[in-house]
Amino acid sequence: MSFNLIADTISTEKTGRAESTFTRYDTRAVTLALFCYLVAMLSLPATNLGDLLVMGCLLMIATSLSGIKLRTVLRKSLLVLPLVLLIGLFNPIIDRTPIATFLGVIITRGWVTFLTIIIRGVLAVSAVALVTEGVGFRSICDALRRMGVPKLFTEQLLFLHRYLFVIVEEAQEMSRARLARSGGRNKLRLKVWATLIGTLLIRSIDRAERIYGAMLARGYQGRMPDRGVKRRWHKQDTLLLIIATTLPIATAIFQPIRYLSAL
Amino acid sequence: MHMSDSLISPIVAGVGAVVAVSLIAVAIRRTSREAGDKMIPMMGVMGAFIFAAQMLNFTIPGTGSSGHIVGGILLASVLGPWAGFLVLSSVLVLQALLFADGGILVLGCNIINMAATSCLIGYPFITRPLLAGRRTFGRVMWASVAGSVVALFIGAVGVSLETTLSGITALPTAAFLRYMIPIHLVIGIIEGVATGMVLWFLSWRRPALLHNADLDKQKGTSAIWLTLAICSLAMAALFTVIASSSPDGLEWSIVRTSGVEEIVAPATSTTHRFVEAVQEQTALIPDYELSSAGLIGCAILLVLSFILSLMFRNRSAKANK
Repeated sequence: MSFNLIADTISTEKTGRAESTFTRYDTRAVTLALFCYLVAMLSLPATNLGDLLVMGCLLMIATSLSGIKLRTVLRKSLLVLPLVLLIGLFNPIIDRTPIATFLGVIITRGWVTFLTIIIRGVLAVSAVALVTEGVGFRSICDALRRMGVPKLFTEQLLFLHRYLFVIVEEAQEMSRARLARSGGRNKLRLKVWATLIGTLLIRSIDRAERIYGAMLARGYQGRMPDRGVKRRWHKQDTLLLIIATTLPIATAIFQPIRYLSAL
Repeated sequence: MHMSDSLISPIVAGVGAVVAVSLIAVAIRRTSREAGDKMIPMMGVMGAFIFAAQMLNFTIPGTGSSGHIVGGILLASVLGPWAGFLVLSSVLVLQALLFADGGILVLGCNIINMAATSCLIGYPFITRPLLAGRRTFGRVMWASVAGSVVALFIGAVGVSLETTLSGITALPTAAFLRYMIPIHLVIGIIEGVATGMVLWFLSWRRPALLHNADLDKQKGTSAIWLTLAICSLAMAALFTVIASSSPDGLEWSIVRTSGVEEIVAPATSTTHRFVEAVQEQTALIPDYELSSAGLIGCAILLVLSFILSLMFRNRSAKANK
């Protein structure tokens, strides 16, 4: 993972996010809707390009209703493209079965499935980015805990998120100090790297022990206090869940574009 | 090795998720029983450490390019296999949610391919037994490289099988394996060397931090058998890659002499047809369709010899009593 990507994401997480419509709803409803959308979108057949575009339209509508910029959502999906392109590129080469003609040009099934793979990749990442941008990582952890995920897992996920910034900054400082001493040699030799990482590991573990001591001193009894007012499930959450799950699932089952084109 | 949602079918992703959730449930129970709440901040900070460690790239000797570690063997060596597995799974969750690295539905498969292979297979079955005995630089490096190579090898096979079983890509399993295995063997060696260097630094500066730091007091009896097993698997992997590109000596000579790849028995001979039918029914890997057949064969042989050795050991132990 590149340094720029982590630094960029950390700065967004640190400065906080813009208010989105999703924060008005229970995060459990939003998270469940995301899962249903992903399952429905990914269960469309690999040759059904038309209905996949319908799924794309649904995501665009959700994005515009949420108040989050489409650019923010799409930007993250660009990261997944190289790997998807690498594996998807074999499809036009291997699968040369002709399935349609467009303006006299024969279109093979390989090219259609190649396009489908790319769109699936972009839509899957965009949907996840929309929800994480819309509700925030901490709310997702809260939702997971309220949906029955054990405390040990959600609490340490929250710790991981919280200390990510601290430890990454420490690593940056160590790296900067090494650069200042290295006389312009940017390359990090394996032996020096191992010493650097080993020292960072020892410092991290010492820090974890200090944190635990401080938590015990402040009355920690195995659970972090709830943030703010505990939100209850309202009618509007049920409504959101019904709409946001019915539309993608109905598209996946009835495949309207394929049905219309067959007529 | 992070897989994306777009290449996986929901059924394969669902099976992966069920397996991963079961493993996480076991890991949570084991970790809470062994260490309790004290592990929560330790695991969180170690997860953050893995992120930071992945940011610092080292130069790969002799190539000029750079790389970073995944950190499974390192985490398991410090926290123990189950807690290490939980931390690496959390890192994968965070990577999928915040960094778009790996999909959400495919998270279960990613946890199996990356976290389970290194923390629950590579460390406890390879690295840890190999570390038993007096801790020398060579032993630490070998234990780390062997653990990483085995973990990445199993992970690469997992990725290939999950992707081709989903049926989204048109690439056949054999071709995918031929493409994945050599790359991941090289990555495994690099990961192993880097992890070994950090482990050596830790055993020199703060040996008490390493999980089961008293391993050096134990006898290293299983080390020789493990080394032999890993070497034979590596040889099998190497030979299948070579064998897939050049035909078998007998087949080659048949092609040279007759111009056809396989001589078919005359259709009239009932004995031939009967024997062929029996062979097709009984053969585990008919006609070596996959280039990985050698590997599967070797693995079956290894498991059989291991069971046999266990049987003989039990008998000799009983006789000694």
